[in-house]
Order: sequence, then structure tokens, then C-alpha cells
Amino acid sequence: MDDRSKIIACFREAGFRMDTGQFEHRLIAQKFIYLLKLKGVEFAYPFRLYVRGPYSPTLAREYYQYADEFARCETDLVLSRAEADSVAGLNGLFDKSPSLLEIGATYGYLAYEMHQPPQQAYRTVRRMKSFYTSEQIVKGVNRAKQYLFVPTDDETAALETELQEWQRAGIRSMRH
Amino acid sequence: MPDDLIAIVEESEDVDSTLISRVRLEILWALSELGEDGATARQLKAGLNLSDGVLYANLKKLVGMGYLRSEKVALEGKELELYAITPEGLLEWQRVRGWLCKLLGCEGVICGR
Repeated sequence: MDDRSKIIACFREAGFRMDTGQFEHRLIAQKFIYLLKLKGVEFAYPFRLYVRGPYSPTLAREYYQYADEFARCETDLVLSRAEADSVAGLNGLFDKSPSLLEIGATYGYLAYEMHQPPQQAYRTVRRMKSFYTSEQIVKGVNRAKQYLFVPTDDETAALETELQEWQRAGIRSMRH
Repeated sequence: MPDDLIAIVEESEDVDSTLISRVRLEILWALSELGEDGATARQLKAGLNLSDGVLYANLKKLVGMGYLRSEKVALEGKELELYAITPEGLLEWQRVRGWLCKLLGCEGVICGR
């Protein structure tokens, strides 16, 4: 599969027409694709942790070399339902905010790739991204958790039990 | 390299910077794989755990030496200073890295040269 077309299809789905000349757009592109990759959308680009947060030099070469294609934001490639849902989920939570994406992607790398415990990952993000306010950091980390969290079978079962309790209580209250 | 970022920043406190400019090496190292995209001064400051004074003095020196270039960029309505390595800077970094590898006798095994 052509990964460049897939990226353009993801950006089209998110309503993001990339202008490679803009620093802000390059930041959004890197973190957007990284979070999608963490979510399970397959891309060949390798990401590693830099002072910018997760970053792929290979992806950077691609958007510089094919800047026109990214600017046109046109491709024949159609995303699968799961891929489109992943884009919609990411777009809904982060709304293409560069700061939240930078914080969320950095947290994602530390927690999901380096397997740091949540508290440690949070502290590392606070140090590495200390130029953002505490409020921005909390928001970015929480959105990353919300986007990337996949409950285990036990957690799903526990959640369902709890929800059933609430549902029963709701029905009981309607009888009065 | 990047997976070692955190450990390297923490352990760099032990490096004798009078022997070699630790900060300048760290800046070149951090920017060496970021190409045209570079990094903002605040990303370098927080990511490498440097003070404003130390960071800007060394950035200014590296720009003066022709190893870095700087430009103003906008992010969420704020104007930031972006730094990127120049081709000369990259060449110099590769030369220094090769020298350090030789000095440490790693023969490229450790650094993947």
C-alpha cells in the first residue's frame, strides 16, 4: 500500500490541507500520524523520541518532497471503516490543536512504547514539555488516554457490571 | 539515539564539560536527525534540560559558526525561534561523532556508525 496516499486520505478525512511551509502544519502532521499509528492504523514510517516529541525523519522527507500532493489533499485511496473511525476519533478529541497533539503524542510514546507507568510518563511529559501550562498538559494527557485506552476483558466486564447497577437504579427511580 | 534521550539528558550531568562542550554536542545531537524541521528554542531548553542563558549562548555560538540556522515561526499565535542544523553542521557533527567513536573504541558497534 502507498503510505503517502494513505496519509493524504487521513488528512482529507480530518479536513486538514497541509501547507508544508508552515511549522504548525508540520507539527500537526507528525503528531497526527503518530497517534493514528499508536491507535493501530498501519504506516511504514518509523517514529522515535526527539526533543520535539515523537517524530519520523522519513515522514518529514516525504512531505517536503511531495509538498504539492499534500497541499492538494487529493487521493483515490479510500480508508477502511476502522481507519476512518480512528481519524474521526482523533480529530474529535484533539481538534488539530498543535499543543494538545504534541503533549498527547509524547505521553503516548512514553506510556505505550517505552511502557512507563502512567504517573512516570505524566511527570516526564511535564518536564519535557514544561513550556506548556499545567492545564494544557493535563488536557493533552487525558485526551491521549481517552483515545488510546483499550480496556481488557476484565475491565470491560467490571464496567458492564457497574453500568448494569446504574441502569437498574435508574429504572427503579423512574417507578417512583 | 532518540530512545536514549531521557537517559542521556540525565546522565549528561556527569560529563565534564570543560573537556568538551557538552551543551554544544547535545544541541547538535538533538538536531542532527531533525533536518529542515529543526526544533524550537523552548523544545531544546526543556528537552535537554538547559537554562535560558546556557541555551541561548550556545545557540548563538553555533549559529555564528555556521552549524545552525534560525528563523521565526508561528505556533498558536505565538512567535517562536526555530533552529535547524545546516549541511555544514551535519558534516561537523558526523566528524565529531566519528572521532568520539574512535576515542571510545566502539568501532561503530554502539553508535551504529
